[in-house]
Amino acid sequence: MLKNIDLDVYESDVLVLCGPSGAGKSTLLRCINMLEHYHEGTIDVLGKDIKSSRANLSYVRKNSGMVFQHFNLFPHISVMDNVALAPIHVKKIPKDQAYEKAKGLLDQVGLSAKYDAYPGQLSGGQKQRVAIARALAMDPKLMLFDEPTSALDPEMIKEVLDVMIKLALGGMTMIIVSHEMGFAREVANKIGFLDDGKIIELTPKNEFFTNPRSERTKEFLSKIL
Amino acid sequence: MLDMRLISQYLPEFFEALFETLKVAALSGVFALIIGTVVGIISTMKSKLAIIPVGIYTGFIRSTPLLVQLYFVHYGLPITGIMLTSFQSAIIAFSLNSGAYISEIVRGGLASMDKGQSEASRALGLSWFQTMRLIILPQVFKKILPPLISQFSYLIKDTSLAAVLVIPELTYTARKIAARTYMPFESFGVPMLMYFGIYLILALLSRFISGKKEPGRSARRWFGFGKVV
Repeated sequence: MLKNIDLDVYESDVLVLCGPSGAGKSTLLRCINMLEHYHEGTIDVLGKDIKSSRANLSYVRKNSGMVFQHFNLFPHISVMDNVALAPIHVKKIPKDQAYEKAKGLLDQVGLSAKYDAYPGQLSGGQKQRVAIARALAMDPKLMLFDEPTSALDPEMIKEVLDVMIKLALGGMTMIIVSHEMGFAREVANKIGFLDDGKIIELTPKNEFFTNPRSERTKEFLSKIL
Repeated sequence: MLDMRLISQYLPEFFEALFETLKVAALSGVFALIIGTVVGIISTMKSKLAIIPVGIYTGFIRSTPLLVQLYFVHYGLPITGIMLTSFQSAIIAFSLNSGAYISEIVRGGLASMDKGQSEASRALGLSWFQTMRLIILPQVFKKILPPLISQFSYLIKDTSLAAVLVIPELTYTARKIAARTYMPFESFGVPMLMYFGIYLILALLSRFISGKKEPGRSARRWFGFGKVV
């Protein structure tokens, strides 16, 4: 489904992938931590070829965070446990430290009042912010966002984007699949446009909006802007 | 008409037998749950090597009578050199039998899980085993607790077949007392009420649990799964 993908992302890059549905944006993103298997080619993440060994893949998963369209929070445990679970069980961090950290992260995303709530008791925007905190708890070097605002009510999109903007300004390396072009304009330094499994255009942000190279991109932009 | 004196005279013996029934059911239930969980997980795997033996096991168990399985384990297996006491035979037969049914329940529960749960777990770096133990199974067990409880109540009734192996459980004891006293109405009536009582307790328990709204709490309380703290 994906063809001829050649893509480099550097530290502190914020790459937004856009394009029509079915273009392969999410598939490409999900290949980066192998939630989706790919048949040919290599993907090096954080200096490791993820397909060459299980150890490499597990290193990449431990050191990257992912945020999903439908949050995928664990509904049977509290918000705090959601955030502290991976540090405790994957990184083997002592529990009290992990919970301290979880509190800090939840404060950071504006959810100080929800430590003991269950995911089912939160709004969509709150859920997504917990999901971001959960990913950040592993101290990722890279954050992957798979349409993080697509399942949200319009008035909740901003609270999630605000958290992501803060992250980007803090120097986090981020790859984001999103239709939020306003957001892309604000925080991205690179924008990739995909169609039909191919990267049609990959350019610095300013160029993308002001001077798109391909006809297909122009057409896309004229429809959504 | 009802001989209360007789009932009260034999009540301690009935209660002892009830305890034996519960012992057989509880032990078999625990083993069945283990078998059912493992088999249920295997049956969701993609490999044919895993699915075929599992399919043969569940298919065979579910298409043959439990009484014959019981006879086979107790009287058939000794020919292969495996000698078992009646108690052991009963536990093995009941565990294997109930395990096959439970595996179907577990398989259904696993199939109903949202794929996003295991994706999120993998993305966080959790191993397959951790994902199962911490994320998937606690949610599955919460979901399937009502059918599990009703499976357990079938198991309790099925343990009456252990009477054929001379295990002093409720049904065997009832037959013994009936033969001794020539009072079949009372002798079989009391155990019947006892079986019904257990069933009622389980049914209420099931309703109580499935009525709980709070996510995860009950599964954790009953099974201790998913404890992070």
